[in-house]
Amino acid sequence: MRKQDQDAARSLVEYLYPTVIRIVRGNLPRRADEEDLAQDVFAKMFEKLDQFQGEVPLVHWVSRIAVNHCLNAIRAQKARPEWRMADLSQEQAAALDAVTTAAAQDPDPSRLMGARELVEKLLEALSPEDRLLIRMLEMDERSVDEVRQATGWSSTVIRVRAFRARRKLNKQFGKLRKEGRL
Amino acid sequence: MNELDPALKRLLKWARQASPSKPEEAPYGFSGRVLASRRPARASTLFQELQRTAWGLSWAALALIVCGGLVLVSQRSAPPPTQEFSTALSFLASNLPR
Repeated sequence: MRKQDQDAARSLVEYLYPTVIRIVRGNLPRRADEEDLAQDVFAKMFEKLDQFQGEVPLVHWVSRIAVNHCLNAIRAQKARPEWRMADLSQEQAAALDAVTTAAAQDPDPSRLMGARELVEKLLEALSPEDRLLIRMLEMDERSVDEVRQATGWSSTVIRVRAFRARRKLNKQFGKLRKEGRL
Repeated sequence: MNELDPALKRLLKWARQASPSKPEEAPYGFSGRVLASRRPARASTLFQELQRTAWGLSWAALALIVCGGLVLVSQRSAPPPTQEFSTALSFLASNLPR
């Protein structure tokens, strides 16, 4: 019986791992190890497993644990740096320059990496919740309903938060662009 | 919904294209590590159970001590027992043959 329990737990971890790691990778605090964070999420899941009522699918329930755990880890960092043009690497500055010129439609891989790093920097200036929303809606291209299932937030909260998050991101991006033109 | 700046949209699109395609399967030994990390949690639960019991016993003992103290205080403050027998003694003294 004990052996069967261990096997079931192992299977559960392996089944849920892709869901958890996707959330963890998208919401990883600076200098944190994704595997450690995923392990913490699973530990929390087993701790709370007796509270699972089956009202929502297990995957959604675990997603919410992962989301909350990651948000708490990001909140613990406290500092939310606001990046300036001078803080950008050469690749990031080049990506910013390229992205603002409409001609650059097919960027080379180095520009893509620069763009990714630049997006990470822009997202760091947002609150953990705003960051999570932008990632899910804009980066992972998930629907409001999918975000609702994964976070447990209501559709209205998601829409309002997303509106504010986009406005903040636009503002932050506008600042960088303005500095880049100087 | 509020729209993103077109250049920012393009930046996000590029960032999406650059997303590293990391494996989404649990690495070897991961589930074992998760299960191993559950054991100390159980031990701590047992410890917490013992701690809770110890606290319960302490409170019960404290309650007993307080009750005992109250009984002692009430007994000391009660009038001396001789007064209770004074009527009986005077009755006996007057009725007993000398």
